[in-house]
Amino acid sequence: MQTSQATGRGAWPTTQITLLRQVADGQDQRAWDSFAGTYAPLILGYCRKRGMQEADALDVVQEVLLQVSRQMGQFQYDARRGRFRGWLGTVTHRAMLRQRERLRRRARSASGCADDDSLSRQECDQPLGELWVEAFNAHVYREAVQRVRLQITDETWRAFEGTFVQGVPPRKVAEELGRSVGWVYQAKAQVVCGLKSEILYLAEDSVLLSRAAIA
Amino acid sequence: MACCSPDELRSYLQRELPEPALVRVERHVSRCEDCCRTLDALACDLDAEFVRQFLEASRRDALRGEHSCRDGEPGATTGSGDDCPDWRPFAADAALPLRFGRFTLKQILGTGGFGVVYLADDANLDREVAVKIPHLAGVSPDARERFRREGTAAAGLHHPHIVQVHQAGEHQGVCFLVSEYCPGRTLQQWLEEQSRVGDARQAARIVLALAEAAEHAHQQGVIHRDIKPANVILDDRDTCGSLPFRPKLTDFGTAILVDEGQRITSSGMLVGSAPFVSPEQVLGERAGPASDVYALGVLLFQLAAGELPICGANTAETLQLVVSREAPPLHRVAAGAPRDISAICAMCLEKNPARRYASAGDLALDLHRFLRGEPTQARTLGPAARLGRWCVRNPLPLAIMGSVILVLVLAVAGMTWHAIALQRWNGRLRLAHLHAVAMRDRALASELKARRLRYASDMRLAAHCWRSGDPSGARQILAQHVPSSGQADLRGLEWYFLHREVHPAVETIATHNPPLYCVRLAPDGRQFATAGQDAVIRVHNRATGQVRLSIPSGQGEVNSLAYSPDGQTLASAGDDGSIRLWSVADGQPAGQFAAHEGLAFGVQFTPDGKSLITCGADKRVHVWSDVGTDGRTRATYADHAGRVEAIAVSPDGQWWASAGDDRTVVVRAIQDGVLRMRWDQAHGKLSSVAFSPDSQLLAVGELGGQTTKLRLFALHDGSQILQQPHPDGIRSVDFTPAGDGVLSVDNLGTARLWVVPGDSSSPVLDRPLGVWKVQDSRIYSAVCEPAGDSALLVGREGIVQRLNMNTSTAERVLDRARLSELARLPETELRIHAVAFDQAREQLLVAAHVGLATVSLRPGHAATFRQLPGNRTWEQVTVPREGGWFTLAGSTSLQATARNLPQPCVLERWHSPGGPVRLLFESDRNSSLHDVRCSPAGDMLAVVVSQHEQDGLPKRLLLLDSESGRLLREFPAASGTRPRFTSDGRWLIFGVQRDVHVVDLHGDLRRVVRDAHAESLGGLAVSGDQRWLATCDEGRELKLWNLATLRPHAELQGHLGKITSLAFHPDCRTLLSGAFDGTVKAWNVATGQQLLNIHEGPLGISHMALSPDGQRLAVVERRRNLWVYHLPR
Repeated sequence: MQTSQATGRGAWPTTQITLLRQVADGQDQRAWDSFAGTYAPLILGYCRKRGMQEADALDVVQEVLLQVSRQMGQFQYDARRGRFRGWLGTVTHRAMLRQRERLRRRARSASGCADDDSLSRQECDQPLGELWVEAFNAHVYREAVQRVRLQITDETWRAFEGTFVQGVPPRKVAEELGRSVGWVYQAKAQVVCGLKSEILYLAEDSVLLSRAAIA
Repeated sequence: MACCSPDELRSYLQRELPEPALVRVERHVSRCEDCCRTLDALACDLDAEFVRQFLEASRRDALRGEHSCRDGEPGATTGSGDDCPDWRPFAADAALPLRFGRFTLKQILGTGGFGVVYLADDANLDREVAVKIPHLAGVSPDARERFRREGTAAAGLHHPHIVQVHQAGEHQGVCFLVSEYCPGRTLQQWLEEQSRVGDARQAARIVLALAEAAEHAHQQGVIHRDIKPANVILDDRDTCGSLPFRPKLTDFGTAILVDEGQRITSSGMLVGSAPFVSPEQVLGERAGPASDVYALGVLLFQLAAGELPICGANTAETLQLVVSREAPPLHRVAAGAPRDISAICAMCLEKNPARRYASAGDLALDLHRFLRGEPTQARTLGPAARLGRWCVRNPLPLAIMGSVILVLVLAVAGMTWHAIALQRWNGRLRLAHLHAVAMRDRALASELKARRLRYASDMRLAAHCWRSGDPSGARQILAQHVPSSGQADLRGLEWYFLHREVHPAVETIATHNPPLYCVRLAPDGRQFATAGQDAVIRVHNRATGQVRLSIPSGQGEVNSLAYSPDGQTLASAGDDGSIRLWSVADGQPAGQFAAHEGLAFGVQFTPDGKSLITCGADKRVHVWSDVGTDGRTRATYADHAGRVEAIAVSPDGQWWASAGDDRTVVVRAIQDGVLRMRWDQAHGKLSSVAFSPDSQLLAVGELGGQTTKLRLFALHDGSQILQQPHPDGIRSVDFTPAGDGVLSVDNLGTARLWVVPGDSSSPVLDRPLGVWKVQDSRIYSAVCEPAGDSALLVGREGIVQRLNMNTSTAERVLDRARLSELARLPETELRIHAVAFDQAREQLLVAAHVGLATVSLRPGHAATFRQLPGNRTWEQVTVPREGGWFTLAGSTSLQATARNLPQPCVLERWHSPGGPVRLLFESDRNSSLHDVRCSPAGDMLAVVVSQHEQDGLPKRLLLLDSESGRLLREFPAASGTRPRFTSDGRWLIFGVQRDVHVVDLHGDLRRVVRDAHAESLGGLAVSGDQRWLATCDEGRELKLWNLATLRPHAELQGHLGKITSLAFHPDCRTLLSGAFDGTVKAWNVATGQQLLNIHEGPLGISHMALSPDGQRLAVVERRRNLWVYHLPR
């Protein structure tokens, strides 16, 4: 397929076998599970933070995943606009608005007998923006941490955590761990490097290039 | 030494430096501050800044927590504004002291597994406390949960050797734990400071204190799970016996309540520090008190020997060794250690939890004994030791008996050793087997659980696809849940419901290219046969459509086929005028004879299989007797003036019917050929005839003419009971197996299903029940399949198609407008209050305000209405499971109340809608009947009555004899009381205010669940297998209970309005709930998850009823509209 021109709002490459492509073709359940497992908690958490009830938030998650699986075929990559983060945010935000509209409509139409005071509480329709970016970045960070921690020893992690997260001087951390200062620096550099590559993978191109497909 | 170059340092950081340089740099860096600064700078390059940006995001995000935008303060905590505590102070001591709620954080005491501990001042109580705040890892829900648990578990423990926890709380989204502040080192630090370790008595004293603490915690149901030196604080404000400090167990960070144990192990998370983790924890089993005993044993060993009993090079290796390697005896590692301590250690470090001390208390006792110099439980003398001591005491006999004994002992020992070894191996094998079985069961159980969860969430997704117009997406998801062999079938109502909804009405099951003229079902329904232009007869498997047998008949074209009643023989009528017989088993010819001059069109066996009836272009109908033999005879009928196109035989074997180009249909008796009926008024050629399954009706299809019609004749008098104008020429007609519908197929490739009028009084629909455009050209032949909801079609396109005729799931069978028409009353006087299924009569009974309505469950849903006397509103109707009678309840009408006329409410027993009526119950003053339920056996009625308000009398639940109306028992009730019987009729369950009452109808037992809901109880439902109880309150709260234990099973969240009715599907896997939010939802009982909305509409659901067989669901929208859903089997 030609990918020269970007169409539509989102950005998606179709030249490579993407995770989503596999999902949409129904070829790879695992690809889908991996995608959903990575991003569903983000969407759910975001909706909950914006005041949605669990059940409604779950509906939004379903809808977003569905949309993602449905729309991927139509997207082409556009480096200028194409950040997965923004695209997913837009889809999520729209799904939330739709869900709220549905709830409101239903409450109105059934108002003869329904109590709809719970709905008014869910009003917080700020435009998509910083909150989403923060939620996305935070989620990506946590996800990356989980992935990196699988690859390193507890000790290495502690060195990173002490120096980078808690801001303890490396010398002190080295003493605590009974390691050399150099080792602590090394450990920190190793984890930073690992985190960066995981974050890049998750935030930028995880959906573009499935590792499984490359390997 | 000169400083390192930046390049060198960069390579060093990336671990790319070769060996000699590495050692040099390493050594230099540890002393050179400048190089450290360079390393800092290098490490803080772009990568670090990039990662930091995300780290900060996660910190800010964590502070926000859930629901931060609620309650009309959008954006209140979105920015890093003033009201948001900055995270940095928690991480670096530079910003201390810091105010945190009522605490002032003064200094960092330490950083633990996932928290930072601060020394803080408690402003309220004016004391120093330790405040623990989880750092980054604490933001995950799992960690939050652990933290909360730590608080709950630990706050309940009060012991001199446990650091007291005061409070667990949350401040601005940051959770924290407040505990007693104990100045002093940790045991870890103390161990590191000791120049000499290995004082066994001191070790015993320390561990004794901790074992007592652990015993206390165990008795409260708390297991520490992470006993290690770092979690022991030596409080030096106090002493403990001869110890200069008081050891205190702290950080129940991984402690959990024993009851909740499953959760943490099921997540596969391992808590604890590797050398202190017990073997059973490594194996993923549940940690128990014995695990803490193990850890105390490790601690004792470490304190006494100065080293760990089992320790590998890294965590993984250590864990492996914990399982596989026996700990060395203490006295070997630490020479001079008392044997008793060694034995105590060994007993603690047993791999098998059952062989350790039974409790931490027992360990404490043994340590006590050791400290007092008494014999310990761990080290009892064995027989060899006793023999040894005897020998020492008696040297002479030993010398004499020595050799004899030696020989005997050797022989016995050899045999005994063998037996013991065998026994031991058997024992191990048995244990290994038990272990394997347990592991497998657990794996299977968790797999099933995972599948259930995935199933429920996929059903939601599939329902979503379906509602949003993506049937192929839904189909794909549904297909994933067709169980493979050996798997449990999780599919319930929702799966079949969606499956039916998203599958197209028509499915091609076989393709041949030449046109097909005829399709016939085998009598056993397992196969069907087709034939057509290419004169090849094909026998197909009915389910798959696969061709099982192809028979080239050699008849030019085959126009018609017939199966013999035994299914062994096929007869074919061909263009060569011959009739040929074929064996279905192998396709071999079984006979042939010339029947007609020119084309033979039709062939039929009589039900006894002895005769064949054929028709053809020669205007003749022949009845052939004894067709299987050479002594074949023939009776010929020349009733028609044109080609005879179709022939049919009545299922009861009495009649045959023929129809033809001469617009005439003829019915004659098979037995003697007597003419029963002749009708020649058709407007065009006739193409098809078919008898109804009960042989009472004859359907005739017209092929030509401008006003094509489908006609139905009653055989008993030859009258025409239906003339249905048909848009195009009919090619074939067939009755549904139940006889309630006729399927017609036409020249334009359309199939239609028509309603057969039940009796002369029932109205006739002016449109078909279903219309399906199946093909683009003629459909020549159609046959209904045995289940009645599908048909096989063949035509000019040469394909065999299966038509699913059941695609219309829901029908609005009644609404106020229709009621008003039926009742000739204004709509305002009519309401649909309640409905009940009368399955025996295939109808729905409707309590319709001023009267009783019935709606037929047969196709077409004919309805009747009957106004009832008495100035009442009829609001309740109930039918016993077996049918046969029903009750109607009438309450005092509002007008009567307004006029202050005393009027009681009544409960009547009806035999049938038009039949005799008996008064069962009459209240003694103005009152209403709120609910009536019939017991499963039909012998009792539970009735909720309320006196009108001026009396101020409470509501009552009456149990009446359904035959006589005699009062059997009486219970106090409330406005929302909705009694339900269990399916065995033993228990009556009802809600009173917020309590659920379960009353034994065979005895006097009564169980009550207090405060089952936050508000007064509304509806109830009991599953057919009596495992589950569903309750809802007068709001939106819906709960599932285990009926046997009356413990809550799940809370079902999802309705947006008051829940009005509940019903369990008979498969007991699905619960249905209808609510004012306009939806009827299906819930998975096992997982408590919402599956799909079966009904979704703009009006609230005021009532809902499920038929006893679970195949029909009646939904009443706001007392206006009545829908009936056909649920899949």
